[in-house]
Amino acid sequence: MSSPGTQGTQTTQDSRLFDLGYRRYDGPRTEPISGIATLAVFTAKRVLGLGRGGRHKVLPAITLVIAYAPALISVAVAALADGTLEEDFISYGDYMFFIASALALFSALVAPEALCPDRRTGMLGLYLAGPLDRNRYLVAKWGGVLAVMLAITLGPLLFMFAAYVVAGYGPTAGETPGLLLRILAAGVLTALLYTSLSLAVSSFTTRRAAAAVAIILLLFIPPIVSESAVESADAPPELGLIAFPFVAGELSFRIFGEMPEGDGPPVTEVSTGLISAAVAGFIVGGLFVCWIRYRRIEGFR
Amino acid sequence: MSVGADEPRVVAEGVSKWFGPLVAVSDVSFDIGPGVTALLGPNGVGKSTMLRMLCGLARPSKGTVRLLGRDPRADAGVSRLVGLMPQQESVFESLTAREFVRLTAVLHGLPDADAAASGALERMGLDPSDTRRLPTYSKGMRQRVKVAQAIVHEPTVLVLDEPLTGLDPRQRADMITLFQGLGAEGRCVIVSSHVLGEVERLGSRILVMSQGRLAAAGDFRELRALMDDRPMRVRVRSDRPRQLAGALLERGLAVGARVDGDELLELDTTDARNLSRALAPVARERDARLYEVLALDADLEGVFRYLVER
Amino acid sequence: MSASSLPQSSPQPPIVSARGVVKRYGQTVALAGLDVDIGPGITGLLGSNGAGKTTFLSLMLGLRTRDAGELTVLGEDPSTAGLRIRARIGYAPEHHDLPAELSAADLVRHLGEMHLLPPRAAMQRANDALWLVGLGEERFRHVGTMSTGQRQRVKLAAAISHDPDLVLLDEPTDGLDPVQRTEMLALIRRIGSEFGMHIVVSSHHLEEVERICDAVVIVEGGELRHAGTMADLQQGPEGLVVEVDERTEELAKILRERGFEVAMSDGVLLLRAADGVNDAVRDAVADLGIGLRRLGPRGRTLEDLYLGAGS
Repeated sequence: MSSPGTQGTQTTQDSRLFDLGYRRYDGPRTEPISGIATLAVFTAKRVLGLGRGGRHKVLPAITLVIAYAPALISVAVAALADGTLEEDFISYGDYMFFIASALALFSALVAPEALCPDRRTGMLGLYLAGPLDRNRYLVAKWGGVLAVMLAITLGPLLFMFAAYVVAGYGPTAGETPGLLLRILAAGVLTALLYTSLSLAVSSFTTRRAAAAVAIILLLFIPPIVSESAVESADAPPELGLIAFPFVAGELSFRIFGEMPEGDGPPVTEVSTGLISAAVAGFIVGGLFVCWIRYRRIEGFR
Repeated sequence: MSVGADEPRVVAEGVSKWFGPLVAVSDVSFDIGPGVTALLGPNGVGKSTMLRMLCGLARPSKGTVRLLGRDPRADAGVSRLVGLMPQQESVFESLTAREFVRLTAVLHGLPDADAAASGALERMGLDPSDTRRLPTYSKGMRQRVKVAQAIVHEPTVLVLDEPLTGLDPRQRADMITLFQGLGAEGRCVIVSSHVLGEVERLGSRILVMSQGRLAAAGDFRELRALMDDRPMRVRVRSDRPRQLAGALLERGLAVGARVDGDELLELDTTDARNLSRALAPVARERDARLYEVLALDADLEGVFRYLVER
Repeated sequence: MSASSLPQSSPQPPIVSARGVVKRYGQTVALAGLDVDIGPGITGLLGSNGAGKTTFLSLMLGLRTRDAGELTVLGEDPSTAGLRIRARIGYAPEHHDLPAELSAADLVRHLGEMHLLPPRAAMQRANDALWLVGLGEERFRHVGTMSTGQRQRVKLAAAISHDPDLVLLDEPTDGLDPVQRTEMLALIRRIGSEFGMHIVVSSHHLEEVERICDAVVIVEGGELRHAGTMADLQQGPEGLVVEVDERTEELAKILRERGFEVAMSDGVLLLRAADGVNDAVRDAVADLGIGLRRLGPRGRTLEDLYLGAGS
C-alpha cells in the first residue's frame, strides 16, 4: 500500500503484522502490603454477595434492612413530629440493642463466607503461594468482615445522628464531639466483637453451615443459661459475662450512659471495668484463636 | 483361572446411554476376552459411563451388556465376579487400608475377609498392619489401596478407571506388571487410561471411543495399517537424503518427501510394508548411509490422534 | 552426593540453588542434604512420591523453613525474603480444587491483583492469559462448571498472568486426555521458550519431561540423584537400535558373524557402537529382504536414568 505521492515506490512501511503472543509486563507493581487491602476489599464484596448470584445477596440485604430500618423510621418520625415526641425517639444505646439481631444474622449466616470456603477450595493455598503470609491473610479477612460489620453498627448510628441534626434534635455544639466519639466507640467495638466471634468460630470448620450453627448456639445458649442461673440459682451477675449479646448490648448502654428498659439482663449490675475486660477478652481471644488455628493449617498441598 | 471354551468374555451389543437430551454413549458394540484391553478416548466421551454399565452400576438406555454371559444388572451373582476401581476419589472414611479392603471383601461374601484383605494389600506392596487412616495416605498409596479392594475377591473381570494417576514411574511400572499378570491369568482386565505410553506397554488391544461412539477396536498396529487414507510418515536420516527420496519416489514407494537440511528426510507413504522392505536395498544401491529410520505416527499416540480427529 | 551443577548455556546465575538442604517432619527426613542448581529454561523435576519433590517446592516458595543448608531462589533466601520471592513466582498446584462460584476471568484477575498487579493491568492480563491458554471463549464461565482439562488451563493462566520470573507447575497434565496433554505440553514449551519464562515442571511422566524440558533434576530419597541437560543425556550414543519385521534372530546372527556386538531385548536388536555398523546393518537387512522398521542411535533414555537412579 503506497501513500499518495509515492506512486511507483514499493513500501512496506504501512503494513505490519502484530504479534498476539504473550506480552511481558514492565509496568508498575503495587507494594506487597497492598495485597492485604486487595484481599480485604475482595472479601467484603464476596461477603456482601457482590459478584455472585442474586441469591447470595439476599441475606446481606436482609441484614442491612434490619439494621437501617429503625433508623429510617426514627428519622421519619423525627421529621414529622416537630419537637413533641423527643422522649420517644430511640436512644443510641437502645438502637444497638435492636440491631443485635441483624448482627447475629450476619455473624452466623454471612460472615463465615470469608474464611470457610477458602480452606475448602484450595484457594488459601493459592493465596499463600503469593506475596501473602498467614498473618496478613488473617488481617485482610478481619478487615473485610469488619468493614461490612461497621456498615451495620456505625452506619445506622451516624445516619440517625445526621438526621437528628438536620431535623433540629441534634446535640449542642459542645456535646457533639463527645457524642460522635461515643458513637464511634460503640460502633467499632461492637463490630469488632461480632467479627471476632464469627471468624474465630469459622476458623474451626470448612463448612459454612457448621459455623452458622455453632455461632447461633454460642449466641443463644449462654444468655439463656446465665439468665436462668442468676435468677433461679442465685449465681452472681458476673456470670452474664459469658453471654455475648449481653456483653455487647451492655457495652453500648454504658458508652452512652443509658440504662436498658425494664429489668434488663443481669449484666446491668456488673461493673464497667469488668464489662470492658470482657469485651477486650472476647476480641483478643478471637484474634488469638484465629492466629493459632491458621498457624497449624496445612496451606500447601 | 484356565482359559478354555468357557473363557470369560465381556460383550456389549448396541449399547446406548442417554441422560435426557445428552447422549453419552451411542450404539457401542464390542467383545472383550481374557487379557488386557485398554479403553481410550478423549475426556467426556463416555468412557466412564461405559465402564459403569459394564459393571452393572448403570443401565443402558438401549442395548445389552453381558459379563460372562450374564446381565450385571439383573444377575446379582455377577457382581461377585467383577472388580471395579473407579476414577473418583472415594470419600475415604477414617478407615485403615485393611478395614477398607476388608469391607469390600465382606460385601462380596468372602469367607475369610481378613485374610483376603491382607493378601490383596500385600500383593499391592502395602502393609496390612499399617494403622494409619486412609486420608493420611499419599495419592499413590491410595491408588494402590483402591486396586487392592478391586482384586480382593479374585474377580474374573477387572475394570480399572484411570488406575495410574498420581503414581510415580516406578509405581506405574509395578502396576503395569501386575495388570499384565492378572491378564495372563485369564482374567478380562479392562483399563481406561490417558497415558498412552503406558497403555502401549500393557498390550496392544485397544478400544477407542470418540463422540460417544466406538471409533476403533483391535490391535493398534493393525489399526494403523488399516488407516490407508492417511499416509504414514517415516523419518529417515541419511547422508544422501535427496538421492534416497528420488529413488523411492520413482518406485512409487513414497507419495511425498520433504528434505530438511543435509540429512533429514521425511517420507509420506501409503505402502508402509513395501517401503520398509525397500529402504535398505535402495540405500545400498545409492550408497547412502542410514543413521535413523523411524515411523513418526505409527505409535499408539499417532493412531489415537487420527481416530479422534476424524 | 556431591554438588552437581547443571552446565549453563548462558552465564546467568542459576534460578534456584540448593546446598545441603535438610528438611525433617518429626522423625521423617524429607530432604537429606539436597545439592542442586536449577538453571534457566524449562526444567523437569522428577522423583518418586514421597521422595522430597513437593517438600522442595514448598521450600522454594518459602512456605516451609528448612532445617539446614542454603537455598537461593531468584537470588534471594526464601526463609527471609519469602514474600518478595512469592511475588515473582507463579504456581499451579497439583490439585484441581478451585472456587466454584468464581468465573475464570475473575479468578485469574484476582490472583493477578494479589500478585501485585494494578487492577486494570490485572484485568487485561487475565484476559490475555486466558486466551493464550485456549480458554478465551469460556473465560466468563464459572470454574465450578469446568472440566479437568479446562481447570488445568485456568491454573496455568493464573500462574503466568502476573508475568512471573519463575513458574512452578505441579503435574500440569494430570487428568488430561492424550490430545489435551499434547496441547498442554506444547503450551508449556511455548511459554518457556518463546516467552522466556523459567519453568520448573514437577511430573511423573518421563516422556513428557523428555519432550519439553531443557534439563532434568531427579530427586530420590531426599537427595539429588541426577541433574543435567537433556542434550547431555542424549549425547554419546551408546550404540544402535534396530527393529525389523521378521527374522530378527537371523539378522542378529549375521551381524555377530561380521564381528559386531549384538544384544536382543523385547524383539529389538541393540548393537554396540562401532565403525561401519550402520552400513553393515543396512546391507544385512537388504540381503535378508526384510522390512526395516526402526533404526536409530541408542542414547540413554530418561527412563534408564530414572529407574537406574533409584537403585
